[in-house]
Amino acid sequence: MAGYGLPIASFIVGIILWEAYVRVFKVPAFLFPPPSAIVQVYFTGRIDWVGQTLVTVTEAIFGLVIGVAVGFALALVITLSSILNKILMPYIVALQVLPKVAIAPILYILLGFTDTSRILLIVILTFFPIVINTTTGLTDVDRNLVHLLKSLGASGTTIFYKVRLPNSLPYFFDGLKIGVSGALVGAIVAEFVSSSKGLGFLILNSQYTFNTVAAFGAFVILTVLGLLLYGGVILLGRQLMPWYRPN
Amino acid sequence: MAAIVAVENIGKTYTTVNGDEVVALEGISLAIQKDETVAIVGPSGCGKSTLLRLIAGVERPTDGKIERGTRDGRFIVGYVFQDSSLMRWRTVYDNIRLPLEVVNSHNYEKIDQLIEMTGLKGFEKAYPIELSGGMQRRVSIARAFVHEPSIVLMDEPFTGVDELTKEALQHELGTMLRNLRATAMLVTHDIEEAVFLSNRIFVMSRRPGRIVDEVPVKLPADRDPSMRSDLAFFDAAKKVREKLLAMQAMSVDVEAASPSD
Amino acid sequence: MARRTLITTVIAAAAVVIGACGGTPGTSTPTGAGGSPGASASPTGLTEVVEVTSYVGGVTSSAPHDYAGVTEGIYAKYKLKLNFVVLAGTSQAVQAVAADRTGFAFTHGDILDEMLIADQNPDAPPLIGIAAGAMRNPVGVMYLQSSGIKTPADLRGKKIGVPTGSLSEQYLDVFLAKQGVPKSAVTIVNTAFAAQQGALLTKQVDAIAAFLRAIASLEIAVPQGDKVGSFIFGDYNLPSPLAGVTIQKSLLDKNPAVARAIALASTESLHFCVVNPQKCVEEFVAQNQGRDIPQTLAEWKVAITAQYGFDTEKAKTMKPLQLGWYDAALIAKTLPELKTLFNIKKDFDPTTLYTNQFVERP
Repeated sequence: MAGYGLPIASFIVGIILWEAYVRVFKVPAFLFPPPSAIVQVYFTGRIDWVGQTLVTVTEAIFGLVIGVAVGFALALVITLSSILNKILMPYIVALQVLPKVAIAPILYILLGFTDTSRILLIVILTFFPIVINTTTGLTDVDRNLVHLLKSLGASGTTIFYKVRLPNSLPYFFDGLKIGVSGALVGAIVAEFVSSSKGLGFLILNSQYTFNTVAAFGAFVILTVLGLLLYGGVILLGRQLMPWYRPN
Repeated sequence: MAAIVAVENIGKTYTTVNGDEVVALEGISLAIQKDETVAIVGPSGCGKSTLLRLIAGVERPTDGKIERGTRDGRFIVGYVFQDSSLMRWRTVYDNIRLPLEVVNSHNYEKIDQLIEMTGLKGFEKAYPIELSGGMQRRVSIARAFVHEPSIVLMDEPFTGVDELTKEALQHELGTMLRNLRATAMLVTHDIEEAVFLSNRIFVMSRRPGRIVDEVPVKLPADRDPSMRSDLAFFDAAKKVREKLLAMQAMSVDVEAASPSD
Repeated sequence: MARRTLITTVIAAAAVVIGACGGTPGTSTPTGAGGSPGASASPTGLTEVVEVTSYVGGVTSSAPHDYAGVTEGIYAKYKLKLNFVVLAGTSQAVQAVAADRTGFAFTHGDILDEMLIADQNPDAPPLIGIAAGAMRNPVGVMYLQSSGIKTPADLRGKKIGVPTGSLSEQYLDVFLAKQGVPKSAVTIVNTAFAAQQGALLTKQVDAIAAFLRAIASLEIAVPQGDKVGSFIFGDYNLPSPLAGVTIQKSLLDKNPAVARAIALASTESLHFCVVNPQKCVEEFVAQNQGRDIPQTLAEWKVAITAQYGFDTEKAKTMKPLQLGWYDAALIAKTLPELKTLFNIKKDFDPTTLYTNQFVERP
């Protein structure tokens, strides 16, 4: 418990300094709204915060689920087939080094201004760390364990299920941690480029009339969302891997 | 006495990524009789672990052949590795059970017996991460015996364990080998360990790996720690050490003559 | 066991999310629509509801009346279901209409954009205006008086924020040239429309080139003791880009009933918003959350008077379709000017760029 004292105190002091700074220097709210104003923005009734948040969360999780499924399947494919590995590798490497948000506007032109484009952007941002990490986890196994099972006459399939798959789990979860952050980034970028709803759209739309406090309201929700998703992945990881202790 | 494993004039050559051929083993012949423990001692990189993999059947020799005597019509090995190599996602109990699953055996009483013998009682549900290094070695030893293998292959089983724990583990292992009437092959660079645990010691050279000497250990079958100060113990250890030192001197000469290596 | 339960829960949650995502945004049921229930014909003869994409420029700024028109049931009355696609600028929206594969799309674009697209992309499908909008140049340079700017010549040496490549920037070039200020004498700062006013108020730029309506927000937010000044291009004889409801010409040829429905619904929606600005803006903001109502209303009032050139009282006496009438004489005079100013090579017959066939003479 003592370990949390300083971070919590630091956070509270930060909020107080923020409020004081805005009040003392009379910073206009459209430039930098104080925390008290941000709290109020949730209760004006003008903005359906729950609805807008659900739009963004739905996009992010939907894209994340597809991204994880695609990423995991691709990791299996490139682990199990060295030929497919060689065929797919140039594309994976090219996508790896490309700043993926850069292709957002092109996606819309190619696929239309639809949910498909939005989801695809999130999928591209999320499946990547899953592929890379899971592939490492499936490949980077204890050679001795493989020898042990081979010496007992185990088939490649048995070795896969008993060694490779469980070995990949912590790697997969590391990928998932990066993936959830990517999912939120993807949802917001997708909404920036084109959308009519969601927190990203809300931020952009509020800027038009200097309703900066609404944008800050969205930032706070996005921060909480990020923490919840990230924390959720960590908790799920602890549930599924009581044997694993990340250092 | 029937030989469990008879190795006849085998060699193993690897091709490196650069396309160079490296002769790891050359002209190795040895036979391991039922119920005996033999040790292979040699400098690191002499191909000791390769020899174990060849006997286990995980790899095939380039030359020569290996005859495996079968007991109940089967030949199965037990394996102990230098770094335990446990499945971190399995409990102690499930780690020990692994070989039974693979050979499709349901002899679960054996798991309990080995847990008792190795002093792991009470830790059945613990994960490897919750165990000390010494405890992890015990799990890996129990795993090597659980399916009643034809031969237990041990690859530097106590590397990295502190001296006191190591001696205790060596004593426990020796007792297990005898009580379970196991046949075993121990690869090590620790001369005292080889003498304490084995009936015969093969000394290997490096590059290519060859057997250069065979040293018998003239100690009683029942070993206990007090025998570490017996004359026969010193005698065997001395012979092995002299052979190794002679080879080391040679390899130093060779290295001095070829600085590019 | 606990593990399995957790996995099942996660999968179930994912399934709910997948289910939730597939649905289309809830459109309000039309209330007070003139049409009788069922599949009866609309005033334009359409019997089935047609889905039409409305490309909205300036992150919803350019089409408050379309959003209000949906809420008021005007589009439903004409058997149109609008899918809004929001984009950053008007030019982008016109390009999106040209690129739309279904052709069932419209935007509040202008004749200048139609000409620029046809001139630069010979393969692009021809576009046409079917209901007029603002006929006066609505773009201008806005600045704070504290910056020391008094006349256009004072822009020399100043930083001007404008989205690079936008029509506003192109007009700014023409304006500066006409005022004898070479472009090399000013610094152009690439600033998105949504960020312009903030950039000006925080003095990161000295002036912005933006749609006239932005001035309303600036006047509300300007610090005490300072004032907003502007040079509206319409006042400096810069021709209007000739705004109007823009569609692909093929829609007019193949589905004239749909084109007519769009023209009728959008002029009726515009009429509603000119006559009832407060209600219009409230309905617009309800569908585009994050906007501030008083500022949006102020902007819209500026747009009505200064941009569209309407008078609320006079508009009440007009029929909606009269708001969409293109002034042929004005267009005939403006086209050559636009051609010269924007260096357009292709020749255009004005009658291929707009049509008054659905609207009425005032």
